[in-house]
Amino acid sequence: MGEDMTIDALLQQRHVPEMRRHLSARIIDAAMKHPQAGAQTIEKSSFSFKGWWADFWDGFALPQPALVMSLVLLLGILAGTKFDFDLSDTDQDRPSYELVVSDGTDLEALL
Amino acid sequence: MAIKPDDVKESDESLMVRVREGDHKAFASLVNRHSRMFYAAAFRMCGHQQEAEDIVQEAFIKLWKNPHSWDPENGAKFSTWFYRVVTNQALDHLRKRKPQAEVPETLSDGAPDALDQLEAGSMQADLERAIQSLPERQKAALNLCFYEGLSNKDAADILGVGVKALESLLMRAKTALRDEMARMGYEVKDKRYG
Repeated sequence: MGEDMTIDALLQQRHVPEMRRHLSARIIDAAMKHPQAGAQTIEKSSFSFKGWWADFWDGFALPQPALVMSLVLLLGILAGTKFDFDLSDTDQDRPSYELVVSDGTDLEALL
Repeated sequence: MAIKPDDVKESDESLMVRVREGDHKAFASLVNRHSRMFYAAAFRMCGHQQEAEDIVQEAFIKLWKNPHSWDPENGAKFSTWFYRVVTNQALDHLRKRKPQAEVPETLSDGAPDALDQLEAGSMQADLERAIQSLPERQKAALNLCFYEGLSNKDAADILGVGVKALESLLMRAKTALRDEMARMGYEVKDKRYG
């Protein structure tokens, strides 16, 4: 014991044991089990339909309510057009007033 | 995993840019290149081999999971930045650790029949015990400046203090160590008085 040395010389004698041989491999394996935040890994950068679909919708700059309103308006116009067309059809198909009247009377006599 | 010649050519910062893009190989290169150095830093903080390995593993996993926490724009050197990650990880670990009286396991593999080696081993064990008994920040300051060779400014940045405060931490650490070693029967000269 009784050695005469400075504190720096004493600190120089500190010893660190070797790390275990496979620590690096263990770290790499453990890290690969965790996904990276905010980045696609190079190995996983292949095409996926789900990803493409999400990107497609993200491409629309319209806010959601405006998009819904536009769709409702478009559907309304289409439905309206269809409804007009159907009216002309249904007028012919619907039983007419004359036919109802004609149920109990002589139609030709009325005309 | 062996270090390939290609790994040596590329700078740490360049590898980190690739890690930020999700490159597994770049990450593996960084680990192979630096795990020993940062393991030593972690060991000096906690004085325990298994815990030091866990600390350095957690630090590297944090790096992999969130590589964007390293910002190349501010010119941060990778190793200095990662010393901060490892030091903080070690400090967290020490705060969570239950108080325990342990003998560091640095000397278990010495030659059993050589008296001088035993004495040296005993002194190293005493030194390790004395260092581990220092307050956390004094210990961190001593490790970063004395053993890791960082500048006072870099060490101060890592610990989140000014350079004057770091110098104060260093001085108190050395004084406490000298007193503790003297209490154990070692004669340590005070450098200030020759």
